[in-house]
Amino acid sequence: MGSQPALSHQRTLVAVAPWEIKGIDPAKSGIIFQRMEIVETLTSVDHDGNLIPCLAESWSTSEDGLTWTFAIRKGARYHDKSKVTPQNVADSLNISLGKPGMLRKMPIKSIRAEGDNVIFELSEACAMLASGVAHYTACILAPAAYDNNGDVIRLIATGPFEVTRFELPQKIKLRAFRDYWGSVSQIRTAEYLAVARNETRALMAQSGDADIIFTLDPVTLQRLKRFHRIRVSTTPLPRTIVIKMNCTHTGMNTPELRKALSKGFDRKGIALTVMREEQSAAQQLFPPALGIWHLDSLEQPDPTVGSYKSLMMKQGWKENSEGYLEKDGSLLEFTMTTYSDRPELPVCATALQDQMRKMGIKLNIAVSNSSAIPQGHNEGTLEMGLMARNYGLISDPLGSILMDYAPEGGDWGAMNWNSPVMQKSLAAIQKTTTPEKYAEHVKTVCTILHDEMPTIPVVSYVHSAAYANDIVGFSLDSLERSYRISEMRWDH
Amino acid sequence: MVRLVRNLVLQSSLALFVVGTLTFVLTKALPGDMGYRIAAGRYGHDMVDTAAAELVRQELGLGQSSISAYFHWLMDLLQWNLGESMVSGAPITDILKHEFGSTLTLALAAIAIAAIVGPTLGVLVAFTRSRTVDRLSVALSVATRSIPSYVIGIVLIVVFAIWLDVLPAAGCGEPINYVLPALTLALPLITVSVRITSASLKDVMEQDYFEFSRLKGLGWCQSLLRHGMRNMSIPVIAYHGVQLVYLVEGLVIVETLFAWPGIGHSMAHAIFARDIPMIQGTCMTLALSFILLNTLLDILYRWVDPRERKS
Repeated sequence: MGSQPALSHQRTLVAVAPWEIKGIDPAKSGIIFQRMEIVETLTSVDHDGNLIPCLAESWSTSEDGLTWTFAIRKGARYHDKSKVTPQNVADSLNISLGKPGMLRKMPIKSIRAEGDNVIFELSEACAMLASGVAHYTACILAPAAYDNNGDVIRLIATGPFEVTRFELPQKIKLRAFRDYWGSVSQIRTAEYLAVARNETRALMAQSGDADIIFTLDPVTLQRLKRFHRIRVSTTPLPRTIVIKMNCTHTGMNTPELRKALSKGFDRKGIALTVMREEQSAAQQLFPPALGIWHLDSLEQPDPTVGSYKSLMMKQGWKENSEGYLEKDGSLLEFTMTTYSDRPELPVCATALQDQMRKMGIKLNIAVSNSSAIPQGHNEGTLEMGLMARNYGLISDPLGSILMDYAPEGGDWGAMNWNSPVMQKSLAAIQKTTTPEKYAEHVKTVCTILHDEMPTIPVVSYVHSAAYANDIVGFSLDSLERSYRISEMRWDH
Repeated sequence: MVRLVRNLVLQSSLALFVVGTLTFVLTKALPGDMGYRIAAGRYGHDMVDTAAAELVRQELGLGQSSISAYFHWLMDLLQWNLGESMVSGAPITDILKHEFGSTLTLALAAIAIAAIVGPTLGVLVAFTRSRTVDRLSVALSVATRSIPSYVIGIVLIVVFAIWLDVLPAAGCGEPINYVLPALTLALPLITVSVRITSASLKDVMEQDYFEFSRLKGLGWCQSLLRHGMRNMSIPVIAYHGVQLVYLVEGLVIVETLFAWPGIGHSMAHAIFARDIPMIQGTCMTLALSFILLNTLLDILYRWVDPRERKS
């Protein structure tokens, strides 16, 4: 079993997480392959969220922002010992471009090899390209990994770990890749095991059957802290629970009303009782892990339920005997659609229901599945949605912002809201080449999103893990890109 | 025998048709857009948007009418083509071949434990003739039957994996991994089997032929082996036939709890992802296994009871 003493070169590190392996194609399960450090991308992200070279040693962009040049790392090898060349990197990226993934979300005209470089030609400037190619769907596989149709038949990549055995859908066995271009991992063998149930993962942590257990609910984490052979680690994630609103609906149709509504929420209460982490309370969409996208100047005000009520009363609404606002015989009533795919969402919705009752709003909750929100958005029937949005798909949330806050709105963003000033800034960001200008535009975008509140952030998630106390060098990636096993070692 | 085989083929064909049709209709009746659900199953919730859902819809032809999709499935079924998983894209038959082995070995391990331990303890309970032991066996059988297998599984993990630290909490691949999930499935079967066996044996022991065998001078064990065992087995076998349905039901829960890569576990995931061919494939396999195991018990029943053979 995992925690029993063994020689360091013999002991296998067992990492347990809830996600099953759906296949060996990175378009489907690349997120697991990236986290287990099997696959790599042109660029990567360091512990502070900065973009760093990976299979590309450096990169540059033309003045018009339409041509990006990535210099491919010399001396890198695939797990089958073949050399990484610009041509096979370009081929791999072109195959990924034909599948759903991050590359398809960017205006890429062509990807080709030229000398020691891989060149991206774009149809329009795209500042997030360098962070976009760090996404797992843009990982680089060896030519032998594909069949003639471009389907992945073997997972041959370049990461610090190579696959020794797949046992789909639950297990991957790995060993350290000795010809890795960087430092060879001191953990010689590792195993990924998908365990869907939180209870089972917790019991595996207690029994020592697993060395690192990811994604545990807050109550379990509190309990595991009591065991001497387990350590617990948490870090805020750029995944935020957000209220999406139809911004033309009565009671939500002005920035003042939406801000007053936001002020009425007791976020700390929800953070403590639902997420069990006070630091989860989210006054803005982006947590500090997203660097310049986080506004430092914002404070956490105490909830004030009266301001929303008084604004509505100025519009002729009156409080009825039950405390709800009423006008011409109609109640101020919304339906909030949410989904149980993330079990905390319905609980969070009921907390908001109670808090909105104090503001005079009758909130009905419709618990469905996650498709109900984009469907309601596209049909125009959605009044209010409560959803969990991941802004850390890549290190730069620009891609999510462009999709969510487009002039016509977005499935997981604004509905019937548009800000020409923000669109101007978003267009300018795309063409910006200097970090200072980029940060300036980002600040404008974030300030508008906070001032006009087309969506209201409520709480953010916390990434959690329990790990055996004889692991040295454990750290959590707040972007959930990597489990960083190659940076760890055994303490004996 | 010919009639038995004919019945088996008829039952199996009917079960395939009914189970496949029902799962198709029920899955279609579930709320939510299938394009989004399947895209979420394939690419993860974070990568799902209208464009990804549309791509999935086009690729899988989700726009076609339900009747047309159903007849396509039916025609494919007649050619024994169960289709491909909407999530992984792998052929269903390949997935089932891979996963059915895990499920079958686990189920057989559970049945073997139950079939050996249950009747043996039942004989011992009947032999002791102690009211306390008898009452204890009633209490245990009521408790294990009323507690969901999920809870039994967690209790076993806590006791054997955490407190005693002698067995792995979950996982698969090693023979030792079988112990806890098989025991979780077998425990309710064992305790009720103890009740059935002891009641049946007590009944047999009160029969004239058993008394006569004792008067002939045979010892208790000899009487049991020569005259009691076969008569006692009839209700025990009948009981195990009925209990198989609990075993199939328990597999879904137990496989999920113990991270066991079987078809019960796959079925639960396929339902969340609206992977219709996978739901149909797993349900039909479970239904066929149930029919096959019941047929085997029928054969055993006929072998044990000569009256059945004559009739």
